[in-house]
Amino acid sequence: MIRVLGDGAEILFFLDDIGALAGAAGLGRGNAVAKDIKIAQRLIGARVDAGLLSDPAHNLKKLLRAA
Amino acid sequence: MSSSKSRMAGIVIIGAGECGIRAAFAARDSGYEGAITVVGDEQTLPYERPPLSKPDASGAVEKPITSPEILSEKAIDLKCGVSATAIVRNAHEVSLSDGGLLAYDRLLLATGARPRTLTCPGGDRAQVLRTIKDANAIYVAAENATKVVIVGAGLIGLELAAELRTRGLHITVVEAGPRPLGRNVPERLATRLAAEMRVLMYRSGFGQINTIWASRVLAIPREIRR
Repeated sequence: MIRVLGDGAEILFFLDDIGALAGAAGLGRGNAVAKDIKIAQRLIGARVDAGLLSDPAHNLKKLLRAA
Repeated sequence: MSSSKSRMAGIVIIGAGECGIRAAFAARDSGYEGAITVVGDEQTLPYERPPLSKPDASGAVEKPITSPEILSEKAIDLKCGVSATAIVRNAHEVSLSDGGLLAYDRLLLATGARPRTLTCPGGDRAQVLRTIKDANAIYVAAENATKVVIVGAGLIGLELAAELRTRGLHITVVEAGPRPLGRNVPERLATRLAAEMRVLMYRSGFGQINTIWASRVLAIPREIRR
């Protein structure tokens, strides 16, 4: 799952076979990916909607509340 | 399991890096009241390792993780320059390189990683990068060097390559895998990072870093020195 944040910043999400977040890796200038990576860290192990992960318009914090 | 005597021995942590020290803090901060001893084989206070491949003009930047004041405030006993030589599990004891013996109630191994050494002929003459001592040995040697071969195109190898290239050295990176950053960065990001690094080096006027993929070092000839 790829979340494209613009200005070259993007985050890759990896889900395990039951649809839980297993890992995330991001690349971007400055702190472009820092906030989302921090949230992703807290989402590890939680089942997440893959479509929402890759939708940059959907705030990851909402997934945290849903998890 | 533990007798009341060994319960008083407290927690012993082998390894005084980021993990060992953070674990000691975590134990204390979560209310553990017994003794906490951290054993590390380096002489310095625990420091961050990522800055080692990002030196300033005077060499590797030492960024301590903690200070003597914080350690004393948290009543954490740090034994520097001492390594653990044996763990005697049934006696709940660790023997130390200085001849000492440490009793423990709980033992944590936080010794971290070791650089993979080259097993080829002459491999022992290659300099590894793990400690601040290693890092400074590299930067001192770089002052009189013109050509450097870096084995490994991971984050550390590539950072070091870029750093030494900016110092005007001719750099060749040898990597056993088919691409850079193969072990710890997803392929999509690794490809982008390596490409951006190439562009950045080129635009800054440093030219290119030679890379040789999917190759192993078979020997280091005698005339090559550290």
